[in-house]
Amino acid sequence: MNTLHISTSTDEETAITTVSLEGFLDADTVLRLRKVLFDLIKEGHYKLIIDLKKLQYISSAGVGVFIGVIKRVRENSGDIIFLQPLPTVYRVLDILGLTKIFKILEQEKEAVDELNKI
Amino acid sequence: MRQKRSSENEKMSLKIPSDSAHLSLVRTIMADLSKKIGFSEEEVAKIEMAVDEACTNIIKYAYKDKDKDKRSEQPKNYFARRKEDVNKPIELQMETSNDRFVVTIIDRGKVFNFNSHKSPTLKEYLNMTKPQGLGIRVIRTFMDEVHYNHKPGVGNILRLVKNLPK
Repeated sequence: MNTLHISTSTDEETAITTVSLEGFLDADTVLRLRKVLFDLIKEGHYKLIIDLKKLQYISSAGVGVFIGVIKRVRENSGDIIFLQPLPTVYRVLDILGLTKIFKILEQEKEAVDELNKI
Repeated sequence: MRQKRSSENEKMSLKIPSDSAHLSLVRTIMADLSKKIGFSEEEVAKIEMAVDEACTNIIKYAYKDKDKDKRSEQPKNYFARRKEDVNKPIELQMETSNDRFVVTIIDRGKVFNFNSHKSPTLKEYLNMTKPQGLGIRVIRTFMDEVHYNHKPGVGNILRLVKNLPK
């Protein structure tokens, strides 16, 4: 069975939270990610780096969860940046238009710098 | 999974309950079969995802609405709802040949006119708290042919075709 591992870490100094995803993000596993994101936002974490380097699969249900929260995040002076997606994951993000909505970067430092500018 | 072999074509079928927990099994089978025919890794990933999206739509929308209709007629009862799951099958029929892979997905959920569905624009996506319609874009983009048909007594029939590059 394909699973999704989620881990989060917050740098209190920069107020940036990194959400690392490993495995498979589909209509089944997305429910846990939705809860994690909603809880982070509820707690006031609006600067998010989504580390995708170990994510092997994303379906539209997975993509949808980020679209569903981006408006609220940006209204609160935050943003979501995707980090190092694998080519298969990048292709899905691109086809669904997320590359026009979200920044996708290769280096963590770049992502931190981007979020610090806000 | 049932399997029927002929000299050229190979036919198989699989029936799963309408539950997202089975999506990974569906993807594994799709990947395995399309690899055997000779699709590249990239094409295998596309087939896997298109079939995942089609099944997800059935689970999330076709049968969910059906549930909603039934719930309005019946008192809320956890066990009654569980029993209904038996009546919400998703049937996948796979046909492989030396030049293409055909997956037919059949459900008995709400009628959905796949062909008249318009995928939302990016602006529309952003205004949705629960974005919908993304999966259909994936299916249309990743498969070579998509045929939808609703047959009374059978249900929704979605036929997805992927041709092997010549």
